[in-house]
Amino acid sequence: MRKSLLMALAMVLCASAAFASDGAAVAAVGPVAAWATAMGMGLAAGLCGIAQGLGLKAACEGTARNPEAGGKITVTLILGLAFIESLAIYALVVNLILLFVKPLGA
Amino acid sequence: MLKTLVQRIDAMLFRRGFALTEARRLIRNQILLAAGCTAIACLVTGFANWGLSFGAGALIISFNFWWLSKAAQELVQVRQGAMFTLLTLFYGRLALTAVAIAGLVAWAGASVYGLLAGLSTVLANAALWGVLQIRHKVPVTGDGKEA
Repeated sequence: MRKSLLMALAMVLCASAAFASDGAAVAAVGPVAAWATAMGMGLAAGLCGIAQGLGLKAACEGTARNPEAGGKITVTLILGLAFIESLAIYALVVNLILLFVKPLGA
Repeated sequence: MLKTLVQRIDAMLFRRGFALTEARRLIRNQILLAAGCTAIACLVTGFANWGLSFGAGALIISFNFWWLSKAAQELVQVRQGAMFTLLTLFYGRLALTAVAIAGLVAWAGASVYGLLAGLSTVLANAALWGVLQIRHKVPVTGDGKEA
């Protein structure tokens, strides 16, 4: 809780610095974008990791309870993992766009 | 011709350790879908940046899906002593994917929309597979009073 409050405070401070003046605003978008990409990728990776772990746990439990259904469970698991990982990869691409393509300015 | 190609891909996948039939079908469909869509995209755009980016995205995600399927098969049927190697491969694959995408976006100047479209081929494949599964499902017969 305290960490998230500190992070929110840091973001507010960065935003106020960014909007302080017109000239400084363009220059400050870069550091804010770097913060945003770092936090965005961290969130995406963490949540996708939790989701993949839950999926794998359920698949292992299902296979242990009913080994004959292992094949079908594995295929469903592969699809689920692919979907979840696609989300992480999309987040990575969006973050790379923010970092390198710079649609918000320099 | 397509049948021969499908049989060849199936045989190659079986040799590479895809023992489950359904998993093999998924990978085979992904390979065919990625190759077909890349060929179409490159021909339509005249091998422009968008088409090549699409191909790069499709290649990355197919490689990723290949290793994910292998890892998932191995993880569910855990073999003794293979866990560390498996996890290293799993994270190594992710790191390679990230480096490849970063290189394409940051340094190679790839079209981001093309790359995203190429990366979406795996979702299209999964959606297609789901639709085909629903279509091939045999309808339940009887009025339910047998039980």
